[in-house]
Amino acid sequence: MNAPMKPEIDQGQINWPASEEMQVPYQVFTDPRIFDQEQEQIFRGPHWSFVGLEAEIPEPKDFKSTYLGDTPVVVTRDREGVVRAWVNRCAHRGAMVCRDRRGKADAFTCVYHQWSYDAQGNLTGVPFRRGVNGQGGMPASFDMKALKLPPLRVAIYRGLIFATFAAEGEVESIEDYLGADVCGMLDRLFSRPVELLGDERQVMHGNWKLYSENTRDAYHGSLLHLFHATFGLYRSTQKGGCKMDQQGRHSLLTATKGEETKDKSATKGLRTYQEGQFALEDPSLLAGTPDFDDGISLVILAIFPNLVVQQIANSLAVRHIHPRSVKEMELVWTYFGYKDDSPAARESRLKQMNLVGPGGLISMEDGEAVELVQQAIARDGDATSYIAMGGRKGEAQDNLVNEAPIVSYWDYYKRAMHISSTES
Amino acid sequence: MAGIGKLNKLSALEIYYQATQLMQAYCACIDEDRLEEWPDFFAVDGSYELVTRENADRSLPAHAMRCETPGMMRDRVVSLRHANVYAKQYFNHIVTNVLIGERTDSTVSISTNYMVTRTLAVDGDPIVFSVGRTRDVLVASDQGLRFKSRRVIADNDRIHTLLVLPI
Repeated sequence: MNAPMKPEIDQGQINWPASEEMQVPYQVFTDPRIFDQEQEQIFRGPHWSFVGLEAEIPEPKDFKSTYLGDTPVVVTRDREGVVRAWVNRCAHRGAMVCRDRRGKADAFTCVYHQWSYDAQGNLTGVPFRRGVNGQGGMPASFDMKALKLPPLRVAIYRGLIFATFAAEGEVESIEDYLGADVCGMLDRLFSRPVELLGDERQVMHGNWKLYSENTRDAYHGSLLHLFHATFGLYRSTQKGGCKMDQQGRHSLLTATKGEETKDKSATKGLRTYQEGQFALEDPSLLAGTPDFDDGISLVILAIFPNLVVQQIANSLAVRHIHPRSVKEMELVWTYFGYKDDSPAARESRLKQMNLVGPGGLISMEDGEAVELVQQAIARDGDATSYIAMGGRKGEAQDNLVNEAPIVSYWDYYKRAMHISSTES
Repeated sequence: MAGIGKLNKLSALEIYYQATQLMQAYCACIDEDRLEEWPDFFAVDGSYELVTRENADRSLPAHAMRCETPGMMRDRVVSLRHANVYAKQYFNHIVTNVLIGERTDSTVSISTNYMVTRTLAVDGDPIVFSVGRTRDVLVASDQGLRFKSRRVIADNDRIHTLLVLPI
């Protein structure tokens, strides 16, 4: 299905300064018109959005319902095992057809008037189509084949399912869309068959792009999240870096355990740098054996527009961003291990779930940070942030004290949304 | 065994009273922000787990919080006090439908329904933060009943903003 052509954002509606630093007008986090444009230009535009893992629908007839942007969609595996996706909206009167979060079915029937569809979204049954006793019924012009659940195109990379509203030719292949570095990291993380451990859901009362910034932001790691520092487990000068794809829209943050630059002057006087006042009473929390022999202990891979893939020590998860409105998003964390995990490896992953997620000792503050911004920017749409750590260009960095992936994210966002900077 | 004696010798009323007293003291400890005392409600080999119904119904092991030892609970409290950043907030536990289950000499199973409201000190409006059931095993100790295992199964699979306090 072709995405409908919508007018670009009127340049009079948004004032994006053309400054040396990246200055993002807060309007993009508060204006419902911009949220609507994002649905068209980003989520229904030339992008691949994450909709689930193949491991969530391993067998024919398995399905899950989810969201692409704010559009309800269903991802199914048909009888032949092919993954399909369609908009969860009956062709008759617009009711939601699939009302279960997940399950097994090869037919989907709308409860309203029992119109039924197959796993590909084709209309297969309409009650009283020929009327009753020669009365009622559909007109001669009624064509079963013309009505269906609007299909999406699907692409799978390493067991991650992506879907798009864009027609073939309007968006790159999934490999080109992700780029070599992102593909390389997905190859690394999904080299073994995965097993689901379960989901966690977190509602953040803030715009979805605040979370996109957060997951491209190495700078905040050791400043907002103090668990490691408090227990003497981490140095804010830990070795790491970030890469972006050619378009600048995806971000790959990595950090390596055990390598640190001993720059004492950098952290001197920081309130948050506590040099480990405390020790863990039960250090088994962090006692996992590394899954990879490359030394990388932290991966935060943010894939535009709606996916974050994480490796935090032994904790593996995909985080699916569901923008519910201009000022609210849901984050669905799907945790996984590998099918061939030893019992000890599985135990480490479950233990380390305590570190991440909405109640995670390391990461619980992210929801708070998103909301703190949303609360403070309520009125001043023309006011801007000031993003300049590591320079304006948004280039790859081999340190964790930069905001380069955020800069490149906003540069890409402006292009995707057809927003130009205004001359000052 | 000192203190409470063999649990399967206690009257129905006595075990109900002892179990609900423990539950109420436990909730008061959290609601009154005496978190340092929270691990003391558990036996030395006691464990705590908070899961969602979404995962429990699929027999998936993911959890929102899991402390396998009182040591892990104390580590979480130290982290909450010294490391984590969150808005000042109050929990209020309402616990009801207390059902006494199987008993042995030293243990008793108990289930409850609960509701927890969360009120942020900064804005004062409570929200229903979590609703669900608990499935606990209590054990007799010198100090009376303690949790041998506590499993909280939340109906609400969405957590608003963040999860700070145990339930």
